[in-house]
Amino acid sequence: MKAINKKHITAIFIISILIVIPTIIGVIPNPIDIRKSWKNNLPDSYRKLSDIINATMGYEDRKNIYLQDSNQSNGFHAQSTRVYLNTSVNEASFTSSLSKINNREDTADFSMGGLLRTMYLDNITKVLDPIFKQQLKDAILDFKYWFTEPGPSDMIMWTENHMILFHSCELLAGQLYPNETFTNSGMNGTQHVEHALPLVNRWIEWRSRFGFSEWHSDIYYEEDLMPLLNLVEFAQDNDTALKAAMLVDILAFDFANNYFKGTYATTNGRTDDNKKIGTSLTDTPSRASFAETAWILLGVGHHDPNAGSSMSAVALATSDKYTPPPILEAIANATLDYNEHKDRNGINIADGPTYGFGYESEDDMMFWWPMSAVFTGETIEPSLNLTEYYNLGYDTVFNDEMLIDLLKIAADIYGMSLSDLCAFLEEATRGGVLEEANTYTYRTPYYQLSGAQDHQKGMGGYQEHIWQASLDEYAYIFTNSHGGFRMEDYVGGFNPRATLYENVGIIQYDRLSQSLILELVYLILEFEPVIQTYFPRWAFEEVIQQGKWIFGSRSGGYVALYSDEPAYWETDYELRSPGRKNAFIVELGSVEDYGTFENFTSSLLATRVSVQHLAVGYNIEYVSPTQGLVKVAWNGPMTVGGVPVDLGSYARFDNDFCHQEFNTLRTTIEYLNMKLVLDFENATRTYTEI
Amino acid sequence: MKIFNWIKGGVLAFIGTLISRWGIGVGRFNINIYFGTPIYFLIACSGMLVALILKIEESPDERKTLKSKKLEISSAVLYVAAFITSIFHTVYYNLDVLNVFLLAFIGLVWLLSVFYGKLWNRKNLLANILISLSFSLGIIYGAAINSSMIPFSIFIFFGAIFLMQFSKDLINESKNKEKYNRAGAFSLASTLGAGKTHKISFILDLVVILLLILPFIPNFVYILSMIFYMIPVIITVILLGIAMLLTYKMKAEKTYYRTVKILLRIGMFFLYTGLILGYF
Repeated sequence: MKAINKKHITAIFIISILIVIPTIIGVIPNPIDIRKSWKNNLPDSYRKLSDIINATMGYEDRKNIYLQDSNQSNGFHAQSTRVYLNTSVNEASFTSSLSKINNREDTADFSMGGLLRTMYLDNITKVLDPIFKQQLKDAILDFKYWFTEPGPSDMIMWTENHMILFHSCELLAGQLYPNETFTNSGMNGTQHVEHALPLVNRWIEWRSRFGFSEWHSDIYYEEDLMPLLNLVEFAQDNDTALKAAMLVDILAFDFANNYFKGTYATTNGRTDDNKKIGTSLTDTPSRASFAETAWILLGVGHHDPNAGSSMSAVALATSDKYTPPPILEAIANATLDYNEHKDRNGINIADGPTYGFGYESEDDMMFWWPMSAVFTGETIEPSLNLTEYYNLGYDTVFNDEMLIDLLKIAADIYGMSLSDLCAFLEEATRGGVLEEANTYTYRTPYYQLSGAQDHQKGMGGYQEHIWQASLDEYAYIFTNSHGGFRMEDYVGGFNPRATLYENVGIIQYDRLSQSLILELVYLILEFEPVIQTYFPRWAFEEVIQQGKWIFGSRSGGYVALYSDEPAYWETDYELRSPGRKNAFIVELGSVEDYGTFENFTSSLLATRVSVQHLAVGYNIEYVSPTQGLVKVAWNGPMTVGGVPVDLGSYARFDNDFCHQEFNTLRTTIEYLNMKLVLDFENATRTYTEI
Repeated sequence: MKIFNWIKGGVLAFIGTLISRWGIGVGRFNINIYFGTPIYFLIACSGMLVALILKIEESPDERKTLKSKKLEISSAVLYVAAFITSIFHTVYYNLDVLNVFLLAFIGLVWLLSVFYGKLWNRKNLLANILISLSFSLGIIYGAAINSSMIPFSIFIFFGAIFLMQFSKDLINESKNKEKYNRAGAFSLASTLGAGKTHKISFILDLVVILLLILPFIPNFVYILSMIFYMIPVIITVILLGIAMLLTYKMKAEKTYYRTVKILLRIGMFFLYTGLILGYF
């Protein structure tokens, strides 16, 4: 043994001090509780986007306004309006869409849906030049309508919205040219109808039983509405057309329950940064893709004269057969001041057999793939088999062929089958799947809180937006744990455990420790270990930060957000807390409850908050000024005043107007003397006013 | 006394936390790495100093260079700093209290070793045990901060690492037997003779090999990537085997001492690598 001298001892002390002291200091909260405040004088024009429910303006009037503006647009979809209105089309507007269709590029089905509407409408008005119309016809006949057909393509066909787009396009194209031979498939139109009709009806039945797995999507409902409205208008099978109309009713009912002050202020199964993030009054978040449709249907939101080429709004405005039952607009009006709405969309993969779905056949995969379930333990092998059997191209099914290669290598390294590996890596492989979502929305005149209750906690997401607290169209907040395989910056990160009750929400972020290889993948993909809070100071009249609380006020509505971990302003619209674990408490209030914003902030600052770390997540106790003691942990129930809160599984719909059990085929919506019965089993749509 | 031995304590705490992270949230895992590794580094330092105190008491040469009293204070300060940090870590992050009990137990062992070990005439043996314990207990501590449900594999690896280090120290003692004899200090080698010491070392290495290959039995303990565990561990086992062979042949010759020590040291490096990769 070598001799030790005083230098060694000194070295130990220095190392110890260097390690221990900063560590302790780093985790002790700063005792100085600085109050920071920001105020805005928002311009009057800011208010113009408030909810416009105009009792004097009915559905037909809104439709006509939209038609007039659409007629001025040079957008591709707006050309259907021109044909409908018997005005000349701008042929140049078709160029890029035709090119996309002819080259079978991804999202060509969006264009094909619009093209078919144009052709059907032109059979009535005869606006199109015959030579140009022949070009369009050739494109329709040469299109690839399903992956079972031969021929190359880069088109993704199997997400929920793409699936109905392709099926409806095939059906309508087949109807349009029943005796023509389709050059790609070699089938004639009648054969295409026979192929497509059961697939269309299958899709409609799944939506009626299970809702939309792309729940509340402010992007993809647009792509559902257009094909559904096409079917309503042009499907020769009356039952199919009627059921499609019933699904449009259901989507309208969704809008009535989730629109707040001009915006679709709800949780989303699929959305993107563009829809959620606004950096200033001149760079606001973009509206839901179906915003114009929602406005025409119900009068919710507002009309933008420049949005004349919205694919679903054009489809609705040029539709003579679909009219929304008045009860839906009445509900949209009735719920302006108060609404508590619960619904359930989708099923869990593990529950497949309960609902009659296995994990082997092509039909099984056609149920799972629209849920983005290609990588899970149950579906990876059959998905690979199907991909190889039809030579679909790994990139279109699995996003990137490299992912499959990596999984195969990892399976070899770990000595597991591919299925077992995907089950082991379920945080990543199941996280992006759109499984059962129990969504909750609570509205008062001043605020709306909405979220997916306890949804896939701790799993890596794709495009999910789990919760949102809104005071108006722009003054809303939400959180996100950065990441997600869609590579969005503010949505689709690691899912929290969000638990909501009326005006209070508790949102916990954590996830189970994983294989370090997976962590390495996250690192390569530049998933930042931060939890973001979107809190656009520019959209609030006043924002105050004190201690762990951040408060905002807007138009008499107040929001308070508690962040257990220290949060700093990354920009003037984003707060960040380092790490993957944090607990948030959100409480909403209003001038009616508290009188002033100052009273609201002081009440919240005086509340007792206990956030106890657990091996995973937290055990949280919070004494809400309005709800009393709220308790929730990472597992188990949320209780408010000692009473458990219903976190799911919910009924398909559960609110003052409708209670429909999940996995049933009959929706009954009632309000005052109005009653709408949508019976998907017998294909009847009955609206009565007593 | 090398700083590498102190760092090994922190490294083993990291490995213990890594191995037992399944079912633990990434938030807690990260915090446990940030706290657990430096805490156990300090504990290992304090343990090494206790061992040093005992060695100094045994060796008049070293007594000249440093007063044991100063070492006692240093050891106590390091231990207390670690213990206080660990209490903060446990309370603030609501950990299972087992890890604090473990540190308290370690503190008790250190204390008894300082006060009563000095009176024992086999201080070198105790010092060797303390050196091995000082860092090998890190793997248990690392697991204990994750959960009080410590995986069985942790105890297997603790046993292997402890015995491997102890075996290495026995060889070291045997090598320095004459030095100890000249100083009138106790060593196992001088009491039992080099041959018997080598046999003990041989048996310990054999036990280590058995412990390391136990996880090869399917489903015996959870290892994420058996192949990544097996490859470095097989290298460790081969090195241990060679070391055993040399130990067996060594008898009174000193030719292989250095080789055996190096083999055991490299073997330990591969073992650590196997543990990290096996649970990567």
